[in-house]
Amino acid sequence: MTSHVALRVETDPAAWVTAARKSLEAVATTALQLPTILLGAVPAPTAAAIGAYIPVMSPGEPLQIGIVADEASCRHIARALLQMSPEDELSPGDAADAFGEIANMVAGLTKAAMSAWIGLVGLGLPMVIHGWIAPSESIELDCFGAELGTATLTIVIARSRRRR
Amino acid sequence: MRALVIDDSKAMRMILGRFLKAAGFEVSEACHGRDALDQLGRHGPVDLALVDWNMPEMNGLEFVQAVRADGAYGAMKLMMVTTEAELARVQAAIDAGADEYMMKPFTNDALVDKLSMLGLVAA
Repeated sequence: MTSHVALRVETDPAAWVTAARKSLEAVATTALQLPTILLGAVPAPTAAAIGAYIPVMSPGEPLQIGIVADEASCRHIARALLQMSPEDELSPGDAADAFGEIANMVAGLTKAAMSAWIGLVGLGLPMVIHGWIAPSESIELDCFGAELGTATLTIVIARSRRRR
Repeated sequence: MRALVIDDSKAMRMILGRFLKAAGFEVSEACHGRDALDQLGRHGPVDLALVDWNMPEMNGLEFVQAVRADGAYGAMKLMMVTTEAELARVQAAIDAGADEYMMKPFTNDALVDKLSMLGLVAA
């Protein structure tokens, strides 16, 4: 009898959080130039206007790295990325696109920091949604908060629940 | 000089386009590699293409490979501008024919340095 066992390289969730925290700080300093306060673990979002999620295409451990924020916070960091003043017009579509790009940068740096454990894997295209990914029987979330300028963000690492 | 910014993010096209215009480039934009190849076919080669990696339709690596396979574009400078930060990715892009590689996020100073190394702007 032949049995097939899926390969599954499980990394420490805390390592992902640490990598994501450093990555967010790097993006905030370099691309956004906003004062940044990294907060501790926070509950999974239950209300928000916009979530930007980037799939990390690890065959052993696929997950998504996301940023969730209300609309005002989304617009604040989008303006920072685009180097726009508060008076400059910013359409909802352009704000969402910039928000997705910020999540993309955070995910890229996080993935690179984790490459020693997960190997060389790709990123998927950004998914920007009105809403958020909620924990469920199949999805577990690790979340931490951050304040970038006047924006309050929740950074989410969503992964399939581990097999027991 | 003419530059083509290839990125599926409008935000990144705006940021890079604004910088290049300030540096004196005439700038056009494409939202993925296939779009960029179509534009090159219609308007001819550019002096510089800034190329994202992860895009729909045709990714940046495939675009670089396609451009380097066509002798008509031999003089074009190609620089990857991407969130793909692993050394193996950099090597793959250089092997495919990219002239430079810059990781997002970047500063304007880093962009100036890269373009200076390509001989396209004064340091």
